[in-house]
Amino acid sequence: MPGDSKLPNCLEPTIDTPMASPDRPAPANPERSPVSTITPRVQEDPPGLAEARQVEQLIGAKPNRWRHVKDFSRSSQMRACLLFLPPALLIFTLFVTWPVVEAAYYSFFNWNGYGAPSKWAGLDNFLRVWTDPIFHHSLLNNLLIVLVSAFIQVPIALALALLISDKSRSSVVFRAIFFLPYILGEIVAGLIWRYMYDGNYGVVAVVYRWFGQEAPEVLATQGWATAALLLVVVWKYFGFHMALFVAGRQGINNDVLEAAKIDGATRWQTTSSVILPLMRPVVVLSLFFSILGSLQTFAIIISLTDGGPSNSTNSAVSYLYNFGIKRMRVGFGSAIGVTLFVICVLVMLIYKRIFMRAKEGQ
Amino acid sequence: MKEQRSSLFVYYRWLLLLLASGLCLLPLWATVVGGFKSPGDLRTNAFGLPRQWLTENYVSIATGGRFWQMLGNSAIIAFFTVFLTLLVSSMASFVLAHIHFAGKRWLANYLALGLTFPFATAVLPVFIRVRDLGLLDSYWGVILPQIAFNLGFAVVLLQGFFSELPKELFEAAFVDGCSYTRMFWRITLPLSLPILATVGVLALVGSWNEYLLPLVMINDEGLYPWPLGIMQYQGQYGTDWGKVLAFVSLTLAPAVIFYLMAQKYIIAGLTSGAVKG
Repeated sequence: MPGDSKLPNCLEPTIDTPMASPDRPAPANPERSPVSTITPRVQEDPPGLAEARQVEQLIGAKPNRWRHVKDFSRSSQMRACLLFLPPALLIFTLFVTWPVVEAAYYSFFNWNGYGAPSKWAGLDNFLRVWTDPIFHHSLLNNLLIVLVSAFIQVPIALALALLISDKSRSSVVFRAIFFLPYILGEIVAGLIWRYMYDGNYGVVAVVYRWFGQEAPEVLATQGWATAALLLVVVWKYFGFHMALFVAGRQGINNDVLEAAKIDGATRWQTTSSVILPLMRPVVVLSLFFSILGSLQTFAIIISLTDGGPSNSTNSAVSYLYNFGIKRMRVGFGSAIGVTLFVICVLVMLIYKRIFMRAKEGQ
Repeated sequence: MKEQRSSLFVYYRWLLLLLASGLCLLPLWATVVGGFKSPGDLRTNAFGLPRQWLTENYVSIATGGRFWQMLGNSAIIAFFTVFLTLLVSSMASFVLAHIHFAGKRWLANYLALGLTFPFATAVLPVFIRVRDLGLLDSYWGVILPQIAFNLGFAVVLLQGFFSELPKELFEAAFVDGCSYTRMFWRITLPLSLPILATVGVLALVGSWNEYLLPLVMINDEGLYPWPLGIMQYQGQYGTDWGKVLAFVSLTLAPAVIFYLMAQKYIIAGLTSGAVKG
């Protein structure tokens, strides 16, 4: 490995590049001149390389047996590296990693975003976030979304998926219908259901009137509003989980099912003791996305309840928006962001540790 | 006996599926027909067909410039987001998949970091960054952060696919003196259309529906993408639901049409993307 050279990383191809393929005896052959081992036909040297070599010869640089590798690197691999990597790294650093670091920094200040942050606040912002009952309530809502997803949404999605995972025409149509809410914007989902829940006009109102009752304002009643939000979440996202399960079900080897059939297993037995156990990794994955999705829930809340009534339907992100961003409290908002970031990373790591390890072992 | 059971199963299966579809589509149905109803009709007849088809809600929105303007804004943002996400991430993934160098794994993990936390956690510093770059109230203020946050899943998906392309192709190209940059354009990209489509669909749906980012970055109503426009419209007309529902229905239309045309790819893309990511 030429890895200890001081050249930039891109210059150091390891053995398994095409460079070292059998018909290219390059690195093992120090006698040949570096230039002639390069495929003579097309390989163009970058401008300046020839001069550089002359200079090296003049000053008596020793022939390096990796030279031609490096020459090649200079001409093509390195050019690809220099051309292809920086845009991604630059944009990613500028808009993802660096802001996270900045958030950590800003969270120690009281700052409205103008001028330089100067009012040092120490841990005040964090303490204020962590002791805010509204924040606790928001996190509780996040947890509720995950629980509803685990115990209501995933079972429904799984059951439906098992009914429509075959390739028949009707199954394809049903899958398309169930998946439809998922592709709609969260904003639209929230607005549609805001209408549905409207105590005066909405569908809920009509249903109540069938029974001769005046409908309550669902979205203006604590408790009911949360339940309403959870229903919208289930409506919007169960199709996504269903599609995951369908993909998982279709991935099950048919031989296994044939074997079960030959052994005389009933449909129910096949499902419960063959298909479901084999689907476990997909369920794990689906719950993983529920957690991820719950931690990101935002627009659906803004358009449905805007966090109300009395801030009872916020999620962590909508709390961040309503209490940090809207009021341009950069320090406070950053403290929420950092807290959320830590929660996300911890939850992901723990979840992967516990549930997704087996997958790697297989 | 078995036959009978089987037909019973089929019967219940259909019943269940139709019921679920009904629940799934009911809100959408109520929305679309709601746009044609008068307030009185809406109050008493939420599910049914309108007693009198009022087209003025739809017509006034579709003939006003605002609606098309915001769809246009969304389309421009989505187009550049998708195009540049694909370009930037496939270039990086190509290097990560085909050129071996020390620190490569570290770089790949670095880019995958974007998958672990929601954009919202860093939104305030991103806002300040965009402001300091002078990109507030511009498409780029939304496009650039969107690309950045797409890179995580895009690189994971593309790199996985690229590194499974047959090595012999690249060796042959190399022997023929093809440069790495050329290999990227001539071999990798043409062979990777399925995964590019997957990443493209994920980026497109995400960008089209994005709300938080434009909400923070764009103040100028003329630049509003549709999710902002629709919230503004709703704020303006409140519970004049006929108007709001017509507006919602019209914004649904492009998404639903696109979905119906490319449904197979979209479902496969969004789920397989999720599974592999």
